[in-house]
Amino acid sequence: MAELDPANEAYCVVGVSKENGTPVIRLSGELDMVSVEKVRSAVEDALAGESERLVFDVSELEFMDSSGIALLVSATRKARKVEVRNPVPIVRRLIELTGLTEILLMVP
Amino acid sequence: MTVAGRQAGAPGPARRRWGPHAATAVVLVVGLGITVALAVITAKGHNRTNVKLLALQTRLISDAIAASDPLYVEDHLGGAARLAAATNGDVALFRQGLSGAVGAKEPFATASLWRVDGGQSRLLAEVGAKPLLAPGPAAAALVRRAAASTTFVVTKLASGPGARLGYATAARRDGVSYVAYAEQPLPRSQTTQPASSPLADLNLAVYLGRSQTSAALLSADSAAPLPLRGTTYTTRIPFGDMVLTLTTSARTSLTGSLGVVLPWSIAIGGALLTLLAALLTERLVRGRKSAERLTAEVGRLYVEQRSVAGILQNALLPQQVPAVPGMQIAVRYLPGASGADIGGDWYDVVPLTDGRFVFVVGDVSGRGVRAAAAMASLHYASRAYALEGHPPTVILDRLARMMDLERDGHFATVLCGLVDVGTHEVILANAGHLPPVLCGEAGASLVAAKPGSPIGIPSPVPFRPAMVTTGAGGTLIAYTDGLVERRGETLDVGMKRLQEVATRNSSSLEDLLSNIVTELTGNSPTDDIALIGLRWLN
Repeated sequence: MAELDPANEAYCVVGVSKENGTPVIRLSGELDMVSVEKVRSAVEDALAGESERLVFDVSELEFMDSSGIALLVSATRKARKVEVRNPVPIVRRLIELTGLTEILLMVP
Repeated sequence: MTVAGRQAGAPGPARRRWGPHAATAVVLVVGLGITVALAVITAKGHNRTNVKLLALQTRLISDAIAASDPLYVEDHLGGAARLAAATNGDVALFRQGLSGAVGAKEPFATASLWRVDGGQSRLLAEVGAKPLLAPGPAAAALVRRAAASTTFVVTKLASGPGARLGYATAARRDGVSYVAYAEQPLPRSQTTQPASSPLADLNLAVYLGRSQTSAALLSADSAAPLPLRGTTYTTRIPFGDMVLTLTTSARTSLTGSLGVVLPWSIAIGGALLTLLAALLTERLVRGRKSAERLTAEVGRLYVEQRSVAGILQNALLPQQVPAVPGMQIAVRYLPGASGADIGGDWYDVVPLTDGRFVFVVGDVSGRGVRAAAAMASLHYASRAYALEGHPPTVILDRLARMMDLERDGHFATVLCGLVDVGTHEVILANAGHLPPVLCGEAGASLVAAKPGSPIGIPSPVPFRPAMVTTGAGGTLIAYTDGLVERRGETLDVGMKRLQEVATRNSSSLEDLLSNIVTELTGNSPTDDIALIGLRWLN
């Protein structure tokens, strides 16, 4: 709390669009314990309706920790298939090492 | 659990002070000082204006006196003396000349004509009432004084209501002086100025000569006792061979009532404003003091919370683990630098029978007391399942039923291993946790086994066991992600670094763990780290 340095604070930006009826949530920046609180409501709004498929475009997400994992995983309650598109190696390896490749489908 | 140090270490709330604060006193003193200064300056200015007006009015009066009274005397008395000189003391002409000026209702009550030749003075004629200055030495002296003077001479006769002024003026011919003498009553002592007169506001006294004694008083129009006191203005008017002294003072303020009221208004208004400012200052200061107290209290609670978190962490995670025969076991826990929040990392060693034991390393996502509570429940549940003799995959299956990310807000990665000390066999099960490092004679390597889903994240895929076998003196190191996670690099880079340090096998397990912590975090990790090392003694 008090030790947070604003200069070092992670930022994360959310963009939401539709692709043939499929919600595409675009995350860019860094997704950690602090920044996840700022994007949580935006992501939850985008997840408001049920849909068969949901896409997280994380091509511009440079860093993610377990807080980000929790955010992505919570989307699996809303859609049968949750796709994580174009993850950078940091994000890809985190998902792989956390044993979530069956739940968060990484494309490619 | 009692929280020690609260009374001893933390300062209590600041004692309340109900007296005014220094800032309020300063405002009060400065405000009142300015008020008094302004009031005094205004009063002085008013006073100065009053004195100027007084001087102006007095000069007007004195100018009027100087312009009229001496001329009257010169005209009438001087004319009579000159006529007598021209006619060698014609008494009939003298009487005729002054007939219009002498009488009960005329300026002069009585008049007389004197002849001065050498040192001798002789009364030639007398007109009107009996003079106060009877013929005799005093009259002779006055007549000689007039004969020697270039202007008329004046003297005051008697005092009180019947007082008169005596005038004498001389005209010369062939060494002989003819002196005309007259007495003028002083009726003006009773006059009061009408309210409309510019003199109505003034106390006024006229004296013959320079001294302001009652014997010399000619005329007064005063509500105040004489001689006048306080702010007075005095002017002197030449009057024959003497002077008239005119002294005035103001009856009321000459500048009107505003001049009197203004300094008091400033004083009262200024005092009220000062009081208001002081009250506001006091409120502000008190508000700030209470905010400071609150800040101090929050700071104290924050420190207390940190210490509570530390105590809780220590209680949940002992620095010592049970000893296992044939094994050397070392542990480390390092709190992250991210604040007071307690972390959710843990390790555990559960000895079983037949030379076997279970070890667990886990990490609950998130921070704070809720994460720590979730950690505690997983910690003790896993210990119970291990003691019941369940294999690692079953332990994780059962843990998975205890937690749900949607419900609890947390998930946990857990690595669980069943170790057979004698056979060097380790059966591992992994719920989303980072792979352990195995160090042997050939160096250090990661135990490759596909992880299952973390505890709290339901998955259709069941946990699968993985078996590794170590050689004599082999070391297994399990850890949480705080040890290897860095921004800007993949977890693989951190794990590679860990393997490099582990390859440089230290003589003791404690040294190895210390080296790992130092080289990977510089001893100041950003996130919490739990670390456990298992080394076979033979």
